[in-house]
Amino acid sequence: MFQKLKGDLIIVGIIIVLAVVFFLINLIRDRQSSGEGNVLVVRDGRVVESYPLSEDITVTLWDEERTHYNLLMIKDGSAEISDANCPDKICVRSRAIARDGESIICLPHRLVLSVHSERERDMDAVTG
Amino acid sequence: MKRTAVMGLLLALALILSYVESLIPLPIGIPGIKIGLANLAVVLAMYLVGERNALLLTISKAVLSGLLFGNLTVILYNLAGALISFLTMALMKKAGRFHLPVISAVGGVMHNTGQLLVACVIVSTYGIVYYVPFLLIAGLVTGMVIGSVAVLVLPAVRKGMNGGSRE
Ligand SMILES: [Zn+2]
Repeated sequence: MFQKLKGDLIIVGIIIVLAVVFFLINLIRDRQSSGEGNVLVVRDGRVVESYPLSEDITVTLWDEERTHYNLLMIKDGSAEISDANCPDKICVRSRAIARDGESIICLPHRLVLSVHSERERDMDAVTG
Repeated sequence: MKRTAVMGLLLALALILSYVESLIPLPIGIPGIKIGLANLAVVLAMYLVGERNALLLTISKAVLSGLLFGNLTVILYNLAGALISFLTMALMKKAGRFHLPVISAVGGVMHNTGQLLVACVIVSTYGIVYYVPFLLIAGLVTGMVIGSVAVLVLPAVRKGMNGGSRE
């Protein structure tokens, strides 16, 4: 009984410490980048399109066969998927992205949106 | 009740909870990240019908809920988190040094960590790590709650399994 409690506390402690560490990393990263840069549209691992976060735009992203679509909306420096015909709609429910590295993934359509601010990183980090 | 009947009930429970989960939107751009309700069925299975059957249930759950609420890509992807989660819980149970709520909490955390790792491979950016603190705490809390529910439910179900005919 007492030994189990010790094991419990160690595990819970590790999880909480990890959460705090990652939270602090996020705080530092937040200061470095804000809602600027580009939204990269990646399909099947390749960058197919790039839109600046600074310009408000609504565009339908079709796949090559024009059967799957995701509606990308950029507004006030952040990007979101406002509609899609994928079965799970996870991408539609996802929070808008604006910070460097934040992404929205539509797995059924093999589509990834991710923010990249040019100051921090070069394009080769994405394509490579 | 026979084992097969219990397995059937647990699978039904897993699918219902998967459906309920799919109705609860998490504002995170990573597929397969869940609050972990369906883990209750796996935890119960581990203690009622043994690890081997629980593993079977884990795989069936991932495949069936993927078929019902996603597609083939989603199934393969979901298996990653489900198997990592199951393996960790089975090892912790075997070690005999942890209480059920903590085992279930680690199961929840590992499920989402597994999904996150696969997502990292797909996106190949550091960006996803942004969600880690939220996922850790969410997995911890739901896992604890679900594990506690299991602790309360298990004696009654065991009694039903051994007791025989009456409901
Ligand atoms: Zn989608």
